[in-house]
Amino acid sequence: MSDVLTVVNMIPNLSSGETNQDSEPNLAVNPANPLEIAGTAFTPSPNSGSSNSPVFFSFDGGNTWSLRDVIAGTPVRDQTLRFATSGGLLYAGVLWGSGSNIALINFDILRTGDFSGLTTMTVLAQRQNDDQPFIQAATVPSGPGSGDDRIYVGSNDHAPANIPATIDLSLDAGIAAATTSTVVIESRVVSRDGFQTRPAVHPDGTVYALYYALVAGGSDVVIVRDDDWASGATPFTALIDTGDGKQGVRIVTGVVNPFLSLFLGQQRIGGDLSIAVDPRDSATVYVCYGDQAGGTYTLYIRKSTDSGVTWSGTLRSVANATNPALAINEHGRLGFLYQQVTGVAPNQLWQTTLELTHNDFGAITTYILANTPANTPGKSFDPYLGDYLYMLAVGSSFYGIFSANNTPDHASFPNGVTYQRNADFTTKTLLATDNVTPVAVSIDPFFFKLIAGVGRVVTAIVDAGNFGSVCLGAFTDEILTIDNGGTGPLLISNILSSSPDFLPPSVLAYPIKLGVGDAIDVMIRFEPTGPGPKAGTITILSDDPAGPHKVAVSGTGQVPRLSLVLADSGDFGRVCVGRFADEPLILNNSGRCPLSILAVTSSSAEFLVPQVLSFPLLLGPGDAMPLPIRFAPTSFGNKSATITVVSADPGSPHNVSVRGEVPSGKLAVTGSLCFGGVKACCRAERTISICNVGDCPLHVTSVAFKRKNPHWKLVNNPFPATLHPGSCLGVVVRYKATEKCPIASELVITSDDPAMPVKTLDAMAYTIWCECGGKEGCDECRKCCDKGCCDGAADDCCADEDE
Amino acid sequence: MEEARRLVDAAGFIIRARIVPAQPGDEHGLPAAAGEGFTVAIEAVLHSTPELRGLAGKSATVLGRHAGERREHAPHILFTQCISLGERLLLRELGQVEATEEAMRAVEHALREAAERPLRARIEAAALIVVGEVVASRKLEPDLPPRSEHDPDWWIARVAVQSVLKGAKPKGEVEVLFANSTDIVWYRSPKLHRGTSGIFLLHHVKPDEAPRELPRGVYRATDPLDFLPAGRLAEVQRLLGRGGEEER
Repeated sequence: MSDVLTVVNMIPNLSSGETNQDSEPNLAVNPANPLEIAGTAFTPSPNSGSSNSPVFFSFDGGNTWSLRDVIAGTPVRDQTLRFATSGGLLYAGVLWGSGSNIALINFDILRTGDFSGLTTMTVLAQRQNDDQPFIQAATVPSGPGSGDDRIYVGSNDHAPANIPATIDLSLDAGIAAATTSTVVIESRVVSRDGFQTRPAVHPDGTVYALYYALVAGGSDVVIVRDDDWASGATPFTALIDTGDGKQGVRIVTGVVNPFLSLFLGQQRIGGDLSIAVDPRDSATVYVCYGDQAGGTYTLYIRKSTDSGVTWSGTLRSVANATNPALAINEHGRLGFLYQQVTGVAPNQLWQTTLELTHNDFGAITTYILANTPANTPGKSFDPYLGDYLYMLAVGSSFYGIFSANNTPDHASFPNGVTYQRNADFTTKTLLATDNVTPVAVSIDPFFFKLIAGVGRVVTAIVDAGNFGSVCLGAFTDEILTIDNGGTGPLLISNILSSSPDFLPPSVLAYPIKLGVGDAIDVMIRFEPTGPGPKAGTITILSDDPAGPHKVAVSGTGQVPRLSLVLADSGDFGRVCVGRFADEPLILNNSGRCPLSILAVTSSSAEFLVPQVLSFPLLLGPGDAMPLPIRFAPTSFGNKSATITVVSADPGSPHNVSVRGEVPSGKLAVTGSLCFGGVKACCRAERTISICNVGDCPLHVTSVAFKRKNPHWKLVNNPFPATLHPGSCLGVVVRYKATEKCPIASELVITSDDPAMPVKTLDAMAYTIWCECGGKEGCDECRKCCDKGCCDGAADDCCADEDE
Repeated sequence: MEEARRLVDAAGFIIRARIVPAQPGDEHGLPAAAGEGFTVAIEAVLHSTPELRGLAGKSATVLGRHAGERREHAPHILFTQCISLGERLLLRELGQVEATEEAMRAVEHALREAAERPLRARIEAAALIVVGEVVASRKLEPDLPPRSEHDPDWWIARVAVQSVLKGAKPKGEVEVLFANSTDIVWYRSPKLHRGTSGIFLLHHVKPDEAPRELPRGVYRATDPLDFLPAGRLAEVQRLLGRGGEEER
């Protein structure tokens, strides 16, 4: 995991001229607002002759700092401070005053919510004769006392003869009239307890405290526990040592606490203790203690997973080190801060190191925060660096403070450093407020924070995710670039779309892992399922602490549009049977998408659509295609039909009405068949014209006498025949006047004129018998006929009936 | 003059400054509860901690009464308390006078008085003031382990008296209890080891500030001003009102 480490020299720019030994730092971060941070060190007030003492404040997460006199007392000695979990109140345990022994030095428990510097902290309790007040604070998250601020100040109380480990506590420190009580947590017969009493609080109400007990044979490292905020009648008695049955489990016995008889570098060593409880599980607790047994002063870390009942062996040891601080973040990551003197005098270095581990130091991530000369500057007083420092975890981040030589040398801060005070890192010289005058090296407080590296999804997509217009049935792919803009690896666990119109990429196997600064391009497909505007959200699920990353996408579903054009509103006009008329049906794609013509049909066999071997036909945007429609009537009359075009146009099918008129031929006959009288045996002929006066051919299928009659005969009968419009054909009708008695005959004209498919003409004639014949009979008349016809048709002799 | 004394005693940061138009960002970091402020250009730092003496030429925001009515005018002496020292300097005005020559003289005088006051108080409180030299020193039986990191680490020095500035002349050497600890509580306390010579401001030992089983007749010198180099003899004598007189 990548981490972002920030180290800041806390001395304000306007204090650039200072040369104080700002040692023994402590730090508080407001869990409710980690931008608010307070720090302390042996830093004097910015006011000359002030009766108050300052606290460093940062309101930007530790990047910049200011000094504000908020502690009502001076000079301040030991001081620790802590924010409550919520509510933003800052609490402190402070030794102050010029008393010439510990019995005369004031021990105040303080509180404030005003960080302006305009007011000093409220004194909740004050007594004397205590050492190393070390405060922890928490707000009851739920249940009885919910919302109450609870503070626990470990100290070494000098009033009792055995100088026992002690906890001063308040169960409701946030109220106006907050009260405190003092609980001695040492129950054994001891010579005394060590300087350090270190409490640790878990939000479930578990409170631990760790201390050294000096007994015959050395010191024991003892832990006590209370399971209900130390609110009962016998607080801190939850742990009973199985060896002696006393309050407090002895984690390790026979420890050699130097009690100030040892110096590392210029730093006095009076024992070291630190404790951290896992915020996820109050049963998991780590302790660190210093032990000189064996000759080399060494820090050791042990762990309990059963609320302090039993303890592991040594998980980690660091020789020649002091000022340990343990903290566990919300993920169970353990931080171990310490200062170790390295090298050989007079070239020793103080190396301030932060180690981080997820697995009890099976694997360690190590950050050297500072590596500074141990012999310079010469100490002004003890402690050189401080009898303690501090580190805490808020969320996944670690915040800490340490003191070190302030030479502006990048080599001394391998993980970087920022100075507020004027400094020339080239010449490795501190500069005064005028940025010119050199300033002597001294000990400064350094703030650090380690933000656990986290991945951060950063995306880029063209045109703000607008895919533009895409035709139905088609798609457009756009590249979505996913960049890890965070400080740690990014695991992408899924990419989802809120809309079926936008298709996320197919990923064979999640997660996708991106290193810091890495990027990946994935395709997002817009394949509209319908026409019109479309919108969706692409959601990238990952371990980005900011949560799912959403990318808005949009587009428009476009469709093809079929426009049909047909002349004369689909009127094919007059077309004769047997003929046809073609009219082009124009298929136009007036949309922006290709148009598939899937079928073209006609509701009538007389309106013929063209044969298409294989549909679909494809029309590009703007293209047009003439599709011939044929009107080929097979019968007369008005015709209509519907041409149907089936296409990909959502409005399909489109229907076009077509119509046409089918006229027929029209029979007209001119001429007369009224022969009148015809002399016997003579022939008389008359011609009639059978005409077609219609617009279409007239099929005259027959011209014939209705009944066979030898007297009537058609000469040059051209029919059956088709008469074209306006044409006529003549038919010669002959009458042979041989009949004895007039017989009417009917000439029948049969045609396809629907108005008169059969026309009957009466042929009217009679025989005028010659005088010779009179009425003597045909023979007589025949003879007469043989003599030749009488003159003139009419009134000619009768024709021989045999003809 | 009395007003100048009062203000000098109360102020932790005294400057000669001129009101200037506020610059963008001057209000940055100004507490909401602070009220109105005005901006000054510091012309001279008259009284401060050593760290802030170099702030001449810098600007500061001053919270004061009727701040909104302030206008640019002649330099003033501002008696202030530093509220916030960071990227910006935020001051609270306790008082101000126009920076006339007379006012400057009065303030300088008051500052000198104030600077002398601690030594004057130590001299007045001292039971015996001598000029002498430490001829030997020994560690008192310590608490083992020490009761606290802030233990004084009591030692006793034997001082051969060369002259007496105050008090009765002792017979022979005097024994002086001093804190040999370099702890933050004691590091400024005089370390009276052999060969240390100068002016010793010796005080009677208070029972609650002394180790158990302390020999009788031992004086105490624990305040940083309880030992002064011989070069400050004239100053001590002046404060004693003797004008250079000393008893041999």
